[in-house]
Amino acid sequence: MIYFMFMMAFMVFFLVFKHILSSLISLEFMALAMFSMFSLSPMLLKSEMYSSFLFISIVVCEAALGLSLIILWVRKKGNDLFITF
Amino acid sequence: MLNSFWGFMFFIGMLSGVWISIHSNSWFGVWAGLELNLICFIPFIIQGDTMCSEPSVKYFLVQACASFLLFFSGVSMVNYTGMMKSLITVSLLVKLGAAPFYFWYLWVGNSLKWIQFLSLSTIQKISPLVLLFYSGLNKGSEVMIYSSIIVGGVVGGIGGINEASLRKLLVYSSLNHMGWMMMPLVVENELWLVYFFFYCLMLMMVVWILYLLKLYYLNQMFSVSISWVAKLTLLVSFLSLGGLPPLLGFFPKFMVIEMSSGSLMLFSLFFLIMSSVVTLFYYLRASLSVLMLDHSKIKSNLTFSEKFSMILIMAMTIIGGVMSVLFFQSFLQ
Repeated sequence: MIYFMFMMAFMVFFLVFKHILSSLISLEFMALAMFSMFSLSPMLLKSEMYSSFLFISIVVCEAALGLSLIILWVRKKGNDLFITF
Repeated sequence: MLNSFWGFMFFIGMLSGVWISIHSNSWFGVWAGLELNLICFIPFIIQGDTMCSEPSVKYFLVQACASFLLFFSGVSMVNYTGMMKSLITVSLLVKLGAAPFYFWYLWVGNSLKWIQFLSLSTIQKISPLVLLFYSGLNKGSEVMIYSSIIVGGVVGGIGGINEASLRKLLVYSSLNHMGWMMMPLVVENELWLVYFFFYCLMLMMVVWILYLLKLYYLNQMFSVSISWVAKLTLLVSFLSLGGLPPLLGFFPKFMVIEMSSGSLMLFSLFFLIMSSVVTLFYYLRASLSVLMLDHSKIKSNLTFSEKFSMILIMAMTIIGGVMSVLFFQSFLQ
């Protein structure tokens, strides 16, 4: 099930063709699928699940970087579309 | 770029990311190092050109997606056989910018200044190559890497013929050299590291001259305001990058040929050698002006540090080529 979620997120990342924000959202969707994998599998194995916290903290840093890059793009080009005419 | 405090810190962060991902035991450490490398490389790109958003956004999207894919497939698919393991190889090839996933590398490399281009081509390639070597998952699924070697070699050769931008020429040449580097990597020989080191050295020499002369396009190279000493050094560096003996760049190619001749890899070696000659064509075309035009009546004005750089580069290519044969003669047996 989590494989399906991750693969769908990966496919959505490729099928985005207009806004850059959609690509960022699909990146976060991939991160969410992996976060659920990190949270659920140790729960099933009855072991500790601290790795999900480490994972999510690094993903948040990366998402913040992505957002600031979109802001830089919008400041230069005026919108967050990939192709402008 | 190392002028300011934060520039220095981001550079250290990049190297730390590479270091962490190389030396970690689990896929988590690998992914954390790759993310640190990415997070510190983006401000490094922006420092060169403050309003350049396109290359940084493209680089960020591609690399973030590839590192998520790497982490996910490393954690969940490492116990499966051949076909699934190639997903790890695919994600590492995307991070490298090797064939057939080189389009982002073309777009990003064409928009960067020289120092950022150099670090994109050398430092950012260290950790995916080391991970390709360490993962050792190429036993059952060598098809992916062999196709990358052959396609990379051929595309790197033929793709650069119609290019006028020097950065795109060097991207295509790095595609070709990636093919050469992955030949020893597939058979788990340490020779790929020797080739990578020599490639970094040669690329640094070429980019150094182009950075000093501030050349970004092919038509700028035919101008007579550039001194002929610099153009001659550029010619020698380009010939070394193309792999002419007795210059520095011949030696790693010869080692790869020595290693893989007499084995089943002759097929891909044939494609690599043929495409390497084609890369030599566009290097020669880039440095054509010093071969064809008359510079005898034009005074060359270079500063002392530029003259020193030219002499150093010429010495490294010519003497280094001869010395490396002497040093590694035991290795050749």
